[in-house]
Amino acid sequence: MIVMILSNIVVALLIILMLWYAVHTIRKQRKEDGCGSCKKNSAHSCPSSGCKGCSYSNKCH
Amino acid sequence: MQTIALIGNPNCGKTTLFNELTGITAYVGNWPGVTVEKKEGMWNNIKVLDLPGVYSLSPYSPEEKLSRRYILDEQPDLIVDVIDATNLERSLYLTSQLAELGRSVLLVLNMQDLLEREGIVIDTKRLSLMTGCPVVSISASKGIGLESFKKEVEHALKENKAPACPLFSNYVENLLTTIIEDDYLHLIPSGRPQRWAAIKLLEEDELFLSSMPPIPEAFAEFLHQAKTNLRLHFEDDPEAIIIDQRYKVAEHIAKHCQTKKFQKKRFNFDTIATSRFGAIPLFIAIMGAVFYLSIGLVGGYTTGILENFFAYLGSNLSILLDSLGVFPLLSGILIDGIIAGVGSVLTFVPQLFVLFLLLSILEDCGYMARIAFIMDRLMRTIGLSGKSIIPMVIGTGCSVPAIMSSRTIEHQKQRELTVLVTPFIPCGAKMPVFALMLTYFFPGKWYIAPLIYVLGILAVIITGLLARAIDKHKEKNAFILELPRYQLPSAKNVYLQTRERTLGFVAKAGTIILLSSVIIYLLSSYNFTLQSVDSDDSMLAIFGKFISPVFIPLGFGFWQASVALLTGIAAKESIVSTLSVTMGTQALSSFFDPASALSYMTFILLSSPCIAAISAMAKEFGNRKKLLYALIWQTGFAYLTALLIRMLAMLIL
Amino acid sequence: MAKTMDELTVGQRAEVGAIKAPKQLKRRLMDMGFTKGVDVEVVKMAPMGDPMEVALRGYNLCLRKAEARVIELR
Ligand SMILES: Nc1nc2c(ncn2[C@@H]2O[C@H](COP(=O)(O)OP(=O)(O)OP(=O)(O)O)[C@@H](O)[C@H]2O)c(=O)[nH]1
Ligand SMILES: [Mg+2]
Repeated sequence: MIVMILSNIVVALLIILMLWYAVHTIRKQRKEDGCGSCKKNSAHSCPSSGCKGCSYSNKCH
Repeated sequence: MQTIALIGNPNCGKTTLFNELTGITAYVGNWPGVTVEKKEGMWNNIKVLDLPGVYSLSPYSPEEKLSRRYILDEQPDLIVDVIDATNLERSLYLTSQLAELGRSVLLVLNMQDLLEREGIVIDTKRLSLMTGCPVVSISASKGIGLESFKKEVEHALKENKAPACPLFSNYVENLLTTIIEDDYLHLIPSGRPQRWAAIKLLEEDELFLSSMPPIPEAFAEFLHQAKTNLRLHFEDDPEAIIIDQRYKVAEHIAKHCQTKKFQKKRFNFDTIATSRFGAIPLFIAIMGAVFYLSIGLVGGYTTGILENFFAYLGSNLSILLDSLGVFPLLSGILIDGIIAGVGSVLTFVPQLFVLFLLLSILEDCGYMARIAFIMDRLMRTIGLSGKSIIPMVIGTGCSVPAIMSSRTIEHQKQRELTVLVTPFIPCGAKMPVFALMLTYFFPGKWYIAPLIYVLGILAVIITGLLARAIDKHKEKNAFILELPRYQLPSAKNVYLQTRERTLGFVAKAGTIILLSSVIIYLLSSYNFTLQSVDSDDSMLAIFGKFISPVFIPLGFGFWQASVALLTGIAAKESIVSTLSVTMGTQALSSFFDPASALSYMTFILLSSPCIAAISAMAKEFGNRKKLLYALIWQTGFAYLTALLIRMLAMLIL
Repeated sequence: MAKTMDELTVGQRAEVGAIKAPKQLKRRLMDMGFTKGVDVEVVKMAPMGDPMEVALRGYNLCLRKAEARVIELR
């Protein structure tokens, strides 16, 4: 009985951990690739702000 | 925080230095125009910027405009002018433009390690005296001289002294002095030297003029007169005169600072690589060898082993979890979702590793620019340029960097056409689908795999010819490309690039593929009342059946195939993981027949790429409408071709 | 008519004279180092006779015959 409960918990935790990791990483990448800093700080002129998304375009996206 | 910007001619080693300083793995390769975006990194509390290479501050292609705009508008605290020491004279031409900006400049003579072999000696003290900039010698790829580089940067940041302007001939200098005296020159942006502005006025630099208020009439008259005088005196346009004067300065400095021993000609690989009859066969052979080694040899060996491994892992784990009494929901997610889905993608890591390895060797040895050279004539007949071949070779690894690398094509229409056709070249992530289908439906028929590439190339040609037929007015456009020297690929570079790309693929398996596998598993195991059902009655099946009729003519009108195509938009690898989660790869042959397998492969090959590549396309087009047209073309073309292939296959097979 | 660069054959050297081209192309070529008096040598022709590879100022460059045609020699 205890073994069963324990193993269920372990498997569930494992899955949750993996899913959390996946979502976390994807969101982190989104932020890096996206245009976060431009939106937050409108004084930031777009093409020259640090974020990858704007580094090239004349206008923001 | 202080900012230093790395700028210099293309291919002089800026990114190599940037990587060395910041520990980032940015894209390095041995051809001009590898970096097309600005990249930031931190080094000892200093912000370091890597910029696309430029030959001069009058830019031509989009990525060169970025460098110019950055250098002029952002005013970094220190301009680090990276110079390929084996190519001093031309590099000093850019230096003569940087020196005028009124910012401090540090000259970095890179590629020290090559000087001896080339018989070149550079007097750095003298160079520093003549240019008024501190000079430091390094070798970025060998990691030599970085200590003194660091010292010089700190020193230059503290001192913050602008270098002396390069002086032109007396006639031009006198003219510049009189221009500077005019009141109009007080209107220039602060921090910009007046001499620089005066030169821009003579050159009629459009970007500069558009940033300034209109020129008063009297001064315009005066400028006009000055330019006419210049024309008469030098028998050339003012702009050309300035360029000529700058090169005279560069020649003068180079002559006094560098001695070159005469070198007898060594054997050059170009004797074969760009020879009249051998060049194109050699190119085909090299690409063929790359694919044979990765997909054929390594892939053929490892795929089966890894597939068995994951199947073994799954079945044993399932027995173990059952015996422990784990709920079917949990063990299902773990085994039929995660292990089946992620495993089916990880199976391809070894062959992609080899593919990435070979591609990075190809990119670092200097052959890429030669491919553009030998293919230009052929590419022109389909409305592209020799430079369009570089994205296509890179595209065999991944379409995203490939699409970005098309930015170095100066001509806008050619650039957009290149962006449109690059996804037709199958990327590494599409390989799993092809490999899966080929092993199940065409075992032993080795010639089908190369045909996939041929089909991709045919799609490029047809699209190119069509675009040319529609676009009647043939504009003239230039093809000017520096051919870099051949070199033994640097081991460190090849290692870093290969690791970066392989880890990228593995990371995708651990994130997007994992997530989509779990979702697909859940959706395909439960119905809308959340009861565990047979997958044919699941939510996913009901949803998939909305789309699947569209594909009946192509022979894969069942919901699993359509759902797999949809998940393929997130990442092309998930087509395989979705197929293996929803029906299990063993059951493939009860769904597909050889003809529909071929048409499925064709559709995947040609239809719109994954979301990452789509957004790369969006960025290059800079325009939603063009992107939409491109996607419609790709998908429509894929549909028709797949239909055709299926009909042909049904006739033949 | 002055001789132009596209008329050179492999191995020939010459000195660059005037460039007769639209503004943009002329500036581009000059930026790459084709100024009056500079020495150029034709190194190679591509397999189909176009583009051509030339050496100048210690480096190699390829350009099409159409572009070479605007560079006059002296
Ligand atoms: N021998 C030698 N090769 C070097 C050195 N530094 C860089 N390289 C090579 O030069 C080539 C170009 O390097 P990159 O760093 O990509 O050049 P880049 O200036 O960033 O080029 P772009 O991004 O195209 O402007 C690569 O193949 C490097 O391995 C060096 O110090 N010695
Ligand atoms: Mg670079």
